[in-house]
Amino acid sequence: MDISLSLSSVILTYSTLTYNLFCYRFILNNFLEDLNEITGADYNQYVRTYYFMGTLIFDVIVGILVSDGLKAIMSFVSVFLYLRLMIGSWFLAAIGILEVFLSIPLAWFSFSLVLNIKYFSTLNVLCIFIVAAIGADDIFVFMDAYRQSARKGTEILESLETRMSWVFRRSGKAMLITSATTCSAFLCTVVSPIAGTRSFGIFAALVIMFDYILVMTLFCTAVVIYHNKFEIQGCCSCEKNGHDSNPTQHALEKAKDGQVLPSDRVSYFYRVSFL
Amino acid sequence: MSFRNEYSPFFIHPFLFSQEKFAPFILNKRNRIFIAIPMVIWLGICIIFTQKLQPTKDAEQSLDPDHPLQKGATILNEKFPTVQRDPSTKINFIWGLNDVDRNGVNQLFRPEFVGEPSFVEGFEFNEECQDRMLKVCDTLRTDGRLESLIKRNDGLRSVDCFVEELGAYNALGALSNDEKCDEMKSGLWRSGDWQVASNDLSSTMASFVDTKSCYGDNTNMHGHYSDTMGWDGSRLRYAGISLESNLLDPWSTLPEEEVREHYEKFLEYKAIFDQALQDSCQGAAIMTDLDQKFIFMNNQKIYRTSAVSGSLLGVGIAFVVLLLSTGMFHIAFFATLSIASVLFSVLGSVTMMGWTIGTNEAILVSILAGFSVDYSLHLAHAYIHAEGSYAERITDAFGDMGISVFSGMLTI
Repeated sequence: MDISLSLSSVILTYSTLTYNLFCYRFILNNFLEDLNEITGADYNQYVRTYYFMGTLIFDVIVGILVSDGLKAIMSFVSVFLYLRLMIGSWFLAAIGILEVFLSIPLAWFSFSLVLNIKYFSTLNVLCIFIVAAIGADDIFVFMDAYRQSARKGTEILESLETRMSWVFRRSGKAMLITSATTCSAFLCTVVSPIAGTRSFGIFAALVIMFDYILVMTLFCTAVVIYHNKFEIQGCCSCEKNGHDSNPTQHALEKAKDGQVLPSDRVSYFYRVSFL
Repeated sequence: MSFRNEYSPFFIHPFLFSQEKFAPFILNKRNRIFIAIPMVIWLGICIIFTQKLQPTKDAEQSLDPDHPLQKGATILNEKFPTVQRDPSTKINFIWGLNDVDRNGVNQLFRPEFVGEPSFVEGFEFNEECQDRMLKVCDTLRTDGRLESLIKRNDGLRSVDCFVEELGAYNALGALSNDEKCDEMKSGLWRSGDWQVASNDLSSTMASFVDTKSCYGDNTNMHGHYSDTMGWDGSRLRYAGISLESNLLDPWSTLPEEEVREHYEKFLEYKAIFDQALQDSCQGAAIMTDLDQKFIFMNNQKIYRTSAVSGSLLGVGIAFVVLLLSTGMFHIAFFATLSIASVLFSVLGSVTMMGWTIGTNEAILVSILAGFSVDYSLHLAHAYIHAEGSYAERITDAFGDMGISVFSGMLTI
């Protein structure tokens, strides 16, 4: 008797669940769009329509999360295109966006496996947008230092090593200070009693730290490759033809001749027009 | 053959380049004062508006306010009164429990461990404690000042008192049928000796917990009073009363101010109940809910206060870093002033736009200082490392870092 009752209740529960699942799936697939449309303010001038169904919330939130995920991709794509526009190299823009992106899994590795932190707050997802912005900032600082190094005199342009050494010192210190400050600001959240906030602060600080490390290593290496392989425009076989293919050498020769390489327009604006 | 360094690889709006007359304008002291005046006025307005920034008074929403599903939820929550069938949050007054022992709690490393329950040593559910607890139940059901706080079910306030059924069980025997339940609800049994003697409590509880409750739908006492009856199989570790809140429900998250008002009213009653029960029940009550509404209320306060303290701390850190990296007080001071101006401008602007500070806004404000530090630091650092007169150093700082700051601003 008891067994049959239990079995009946299990079947009833299962049937109810299946029915509910079927119902809400049916509404989701067939009615949701129409329901959203009729809730519009201009759908009917006399009657305002609203609806609510608790079981739809999860799917709606998942839909919003997917859409937010796409926005994160859009954020990376637009940063990538802007990097390309400003740096003028697909190669450097690609490496730049790669290093920005790589700082997230590296931070996650340190966060979860090195520091052994198990609490991964939903807030941590915000770090994707933060690093996209700050990472691009660091790339600009590095690239601008590299560009400006071409106009900093013969001593700096003696060789690629002396030039990159100057770039490293100039941009590295500036980025170190800003990255350290931003990291410290995020790490201040560890005093918060809320675990989610602490988790976010630590994760964001790690992301910023790895972004800095990657700019100074991976991106710097990419700039050297760019210098050696891609910086020359319209010269695929310069060495074969006996032309000078070294941009640093080229800048040095111009500096020795007393020629000043033109500045980019924004630097020119700030240096000349703005002041 | 050409080198990319020689050419600007990007296009900037011609507006920027048509400002040839702007350079002498900025270098002129009088003009700088002319620019400073609207900036100071703007900052003054922002500071005034920042002081008007209020915590949110609307329920926290997970969806966009204009989302059709959110509109439906908002209307259901705000425009319709709470009815009997609506789920509501239960508020518990429990005697025999201390605050949770949070030694060793670090949710970063063990998210699931939130502490150990701590019981009052020597808690005894004696006859006097039972008697006074039943009186507290009566107060909760009848006190006119509690009308707005407690939800009604079938015309009566929804207050669960297991001591009532325990007393009736002791006085009338098993509450096995409707007749017995009606008798229990009539309260006539109270005129006799209904209290369970301390010596008999364990044996009475052992049989009582398995009997059917008069208030549940075919649930036994153990199931119906699971939150307020701490029977561990051999002794009663804690005992209490639960009631349904007229304001809180498991789904919505109300503004902190509204929940706190509700919370503080219950705290007032807790103090009154403690006075009556402290001696007989060997300790003060714990008043809490199990839907974490009061925890979230405290979190909202922490978010709001940490937004202010976090941003101020960020400004402080920026000042120290600037001072250490530049070694010049006035540079550090003015750069910090610039960061603080950014903070006030953002907070003032959002207040002007009619925003209030909820959980998400508070978190964003607390990371704002970290963001706004970068540009001032870059320019201050470039100024320090430039050579020549102050005008040349400013020119160099802008020339070297202006492009980076401009590009960084655009990507953010």
